[in-house]
Amino acid sequence: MVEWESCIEEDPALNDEVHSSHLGMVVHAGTYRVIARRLRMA
Amino acid sequence: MSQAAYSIDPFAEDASLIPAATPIWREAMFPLEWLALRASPVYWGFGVPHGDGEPVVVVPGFLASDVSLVELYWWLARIGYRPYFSNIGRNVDCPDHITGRLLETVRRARKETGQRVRLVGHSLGGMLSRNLALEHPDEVAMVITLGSPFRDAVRAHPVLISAAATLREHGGTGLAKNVRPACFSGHCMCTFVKNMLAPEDWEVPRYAVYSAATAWWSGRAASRRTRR
Repeated sequence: MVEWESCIEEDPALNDEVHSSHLGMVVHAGTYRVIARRLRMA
Repeated sequence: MSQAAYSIDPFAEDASLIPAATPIWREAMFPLEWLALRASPVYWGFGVPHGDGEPVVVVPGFLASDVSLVELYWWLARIGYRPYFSNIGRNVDCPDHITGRLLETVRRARKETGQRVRLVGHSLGGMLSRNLALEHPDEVAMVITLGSPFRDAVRAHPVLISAAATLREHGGTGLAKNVRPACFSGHCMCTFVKNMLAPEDWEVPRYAVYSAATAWWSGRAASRRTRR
């Protein structure tokens, strides 16, 4: 639905890649794994 | 004046919104991805770090509502966070107005938990989250965007761009009651567009999750640009 180049931060350390559809990101195990890891960084 | 003259969209030409031939067929995989999630240990909270009651507000994407994030909401609760739906309704209205509604939820979550809020937004929901974090950094601890085209020009499938144009045509009515002729375009002078095109200094940590599916399709190696 959207190109990935529009969705990333300039600093690569702030980006995480998952392999899913655009709509499927919200029901994707890889996305959930990243969210869990990033939330602990707050 | 002819009817054709009335139908011309003065904001149709927009350098910040570019049609892109993204693989929309990939969206048909959604049911399989959902089933795979249900079968994954991650879904049941195994193998991932847990929270300690911190507030997390989940924000739906363009055209969607909180219903689209039910799985994410309950998963966050299972792994120890205190999730909140955004309560923004269907995400079709003026982004500045919707950010105002989101702020009400964020302030309620902060009041109830006594902690700054984590925002997890999908697509346009991530852009709204970034907008809120830039305007109210004292309320937000972190922003995580999921496939949110916040950077430079938005390159999106023509279906999405047509949907935005349709909303502009019907602006001022129904769910799009606050949509104005320049909404969802780089021509708008609103705070949301300013924060997307030229954000000032960030005070809040933010992270971007993106899908490499488009990169596979186009033959471009996304992983060369990022690291885990």
